[in-house]
Amino acid sequence: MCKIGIIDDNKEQRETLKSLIESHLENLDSNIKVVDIFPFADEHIDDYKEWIEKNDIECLIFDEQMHNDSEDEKGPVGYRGNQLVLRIRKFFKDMPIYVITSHKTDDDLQEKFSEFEDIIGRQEFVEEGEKYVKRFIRATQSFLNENISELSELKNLSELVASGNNDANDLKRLRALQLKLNVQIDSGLGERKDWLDEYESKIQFLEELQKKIENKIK
Amino acid sequence: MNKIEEIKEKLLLAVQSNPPNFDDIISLSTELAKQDPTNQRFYIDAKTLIHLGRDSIKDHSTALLELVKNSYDADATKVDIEIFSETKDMIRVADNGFGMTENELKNSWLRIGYSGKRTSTKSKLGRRKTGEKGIGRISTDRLGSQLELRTKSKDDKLIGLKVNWDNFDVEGKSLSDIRVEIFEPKEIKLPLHEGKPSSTGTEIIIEKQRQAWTKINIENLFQELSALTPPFENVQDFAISLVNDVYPIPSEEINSSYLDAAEIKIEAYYPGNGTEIIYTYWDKYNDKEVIEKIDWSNLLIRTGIDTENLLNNQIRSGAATIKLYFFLRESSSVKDFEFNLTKLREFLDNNAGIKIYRDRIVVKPYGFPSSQFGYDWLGLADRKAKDPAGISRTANYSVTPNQLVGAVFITRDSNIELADSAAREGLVESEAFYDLKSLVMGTINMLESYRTRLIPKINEAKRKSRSKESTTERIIKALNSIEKDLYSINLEIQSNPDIDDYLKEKVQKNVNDLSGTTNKVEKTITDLLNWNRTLSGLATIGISSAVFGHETEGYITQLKGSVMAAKLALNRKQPNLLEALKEIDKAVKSSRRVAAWGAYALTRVQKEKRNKKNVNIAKIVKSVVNELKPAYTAASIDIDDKEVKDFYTYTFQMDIETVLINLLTNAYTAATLKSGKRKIVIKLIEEDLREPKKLVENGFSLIVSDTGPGVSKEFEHRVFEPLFSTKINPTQGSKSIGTGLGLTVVNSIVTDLKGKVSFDRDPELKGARFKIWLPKEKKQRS
Repeated sequence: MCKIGIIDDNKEQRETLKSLIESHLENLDSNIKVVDIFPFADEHIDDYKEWIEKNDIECLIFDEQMHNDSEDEKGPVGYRGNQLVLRIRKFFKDMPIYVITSHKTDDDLQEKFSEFEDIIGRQEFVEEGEKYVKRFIRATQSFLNENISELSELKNLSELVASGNNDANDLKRLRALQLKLNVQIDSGLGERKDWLDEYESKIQFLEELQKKIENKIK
Repeated sequence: MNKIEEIKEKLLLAVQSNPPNFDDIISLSTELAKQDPTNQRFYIDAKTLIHLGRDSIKDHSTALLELVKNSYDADATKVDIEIFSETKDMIRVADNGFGMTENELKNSWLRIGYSGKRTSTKSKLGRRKTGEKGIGRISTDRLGSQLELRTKSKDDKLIGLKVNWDNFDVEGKSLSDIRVEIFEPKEIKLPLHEGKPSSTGTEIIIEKQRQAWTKINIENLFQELSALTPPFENVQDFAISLVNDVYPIPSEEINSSYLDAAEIKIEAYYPGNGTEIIYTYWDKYNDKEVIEKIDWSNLLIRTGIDTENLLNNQIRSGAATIKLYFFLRESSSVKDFEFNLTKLREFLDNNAGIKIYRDRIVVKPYGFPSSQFGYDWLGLADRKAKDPAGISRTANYSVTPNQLVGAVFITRDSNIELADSAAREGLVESEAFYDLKSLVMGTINMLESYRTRLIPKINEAKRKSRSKESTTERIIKALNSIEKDLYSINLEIQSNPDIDDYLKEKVQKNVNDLSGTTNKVEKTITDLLNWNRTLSGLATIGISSAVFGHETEGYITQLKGSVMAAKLALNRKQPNLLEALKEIDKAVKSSRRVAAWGAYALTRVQKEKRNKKNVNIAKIVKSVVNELKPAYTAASIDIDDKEVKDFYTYTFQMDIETVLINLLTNAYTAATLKSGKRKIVIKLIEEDLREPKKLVENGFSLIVSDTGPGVSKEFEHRVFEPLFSTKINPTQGSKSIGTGLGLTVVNSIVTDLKGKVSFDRDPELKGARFKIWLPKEKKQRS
């Protein structure tokens, strides 16, 4: 089941946004769920990856100013929405990420415009929420679909390369998918071939050495 | 019987009578001498004494001064002068000098023209005797017709004499015909010496005064007496006290500490031979003395004096020391001194001018403000009038005579060429005197060029002093002083019988009008100050709005969002009542916060906060903290005001609020720059201000510290600068827009309240710590 995740330090605001989105989703007959979270501490910023994966989140909504509040003895954090987006993009290149904020015109935020699906004014969202939620649904669905098809292609190509029946194009495509989906592969495929080549050359060296020793004994 | 025999017979009878007929003996002896066929003698008419005394002495203060000089020559350390013109008719001069024996009285005092000062030029105390013509005693005739002198020396009994000067003012009488009564007084009233009346000394009582003393006479006399011995020496071995019933002056002796208030001191020393003059400079901006040598001819060229008439590059006046003290007649001069500007000005009014001291006794009329020609004997005022260039035009800058207190020290022994003029006032205008004058002018010139070299230091000091006293304070002070002066001038005019009534009325009307204007100006300034206060308050709302404005905007959005969420929750296919209620609750909370911000802004400039009254600073602080707390809590900032203790003072509530809000606003911005624990600590403590050379001042300190990054070193010197802000170009670290006015407003208010503002790093919170010290004020009883 796919979900929309909200990250905001302001609990009241976060829960209101959740309620608004849920109402619209329900009215639009969507089965997408909404989860919300207080921002992770600066030193645990990479925990978002695990949280996203664990919760099957396909769409994210941030607040820009998430550095003020504290909650349950946590926070305030030292980063803002426009900084967090870069960290998330490290793992999820194509995930739809929106910002809903009262500081829509903030220069730093506008500078990162291309990193977001959209920068939405909080007031606009309150007034025309349904319009935006429809977009969230579409974006979530399409990310999910793309994700499913790419994952299946990745599986097929991996099997092909492992069996050694691949051509150069297959290898190239596999590499691109690994990169896009941020699949952690230790040394990469090219390096494995190099290793094999080196291994074979070493065997060859040993074979030649063996021949030399045998000739001497004779 | 021939004439000689006839006189001899009469003389014999006069000698043989019991007691001898002294008057007849003198007149018959004189008559007998006239019979000498080969030699004749001068006879002195009694009136001669009148010419020598009463007619040749300029005025009664000069006459009195002659008596004081006699006391000085008699090694007196204290002279009491009493002048009674209104309640009774008497002048009394008493000293604790060595007094006279009967023999000295008869053979010296009564011998006109005799001066022991010619035979011995130094007194026992080593003083160089001041008079030498032996006619000072006749000056008493200038003061009054009846003279009674009582004297007591160490070696003789108390003795006295009485002179009626009017007896000399008759036609045809010979000097020896006039009787001077010798008597043995029962008592003598002498100045105290080490707490007890002195055992030796002379007391002179003059009655039937010739001229009544006026207020101006007494003022002039006071100045002349003050200057009789120079205020430049530390040794105070000759004190004069003046008591009078004409114009009581506080018997304040010249306080040499006034001289310390000089901006520049310069001392020129010419040893009496050679052509070199040694200059020593001292100024209040530098610690070190500057010593410079200059050749006489160079000095003259610099002074612009025609050197052609000078003889062999020699200074004919002999050895001399010149000391000049240059004063600024402005408030910066009295900073760090115990006296105020009025006192310094009084001192300058009484002592400005360059006086000549010969053997430490002043030579009139040089440098006396009361003297028409003597005061500015060097023509400094004329010179300034011709070219009134200020210090900024360095080449032509010249000082004015009322800025200088100076002394030229000469001695009788080393300045023989500088002789007294016969009129007992001034020196003979010889070539030696001309050289002395050039030397003094040269020294003034050296002072002027030294001062122009100090311009950068002077300007720096001015900039510093300007910030200490506000312009408005200076204007109000100046106006009050003008009003006070006008009041006393008007009193003088109104009580002067010689001034026409019509003019008096006119002056009175003008003074009334001016006095009204002064009040109006003062009121306008006070209103402007109040207006300024309101503007500072409004600016502060602006400043805090820039910072907290987003917070309020957030509450409004939240309010709208919650209302919408509640509505949507109720409109769901399956209405969610609980969700709706939760959102309505949040909406109400947000609306309250928006209302609180409105109330905060509206109450900032309330009229009653602009009035000065007794307030508890702690109460103001806590109330402001209470109003701002929600905004701080929203940014996870904990405001700690536990150490805010009650402190009562008489001040403007708005000023305190404005200062605190600006500091808190800055602390808010700073604290939000860092993640983790955010805290602001406010302290209000009673604290006295202790500064070197100043009285301890009671007051309180308001301290605001935060957990922000602190004031960066590169900005430390600029934080109070108007329009300077680290927040003008918001960076990633700071989202708030600074106006660059917050700390300027704080600084301006604190200066206005005569307080101090400082900042450093808080040792615990590690962020900035701003400290405001303000004096405790009490309501003045009207």
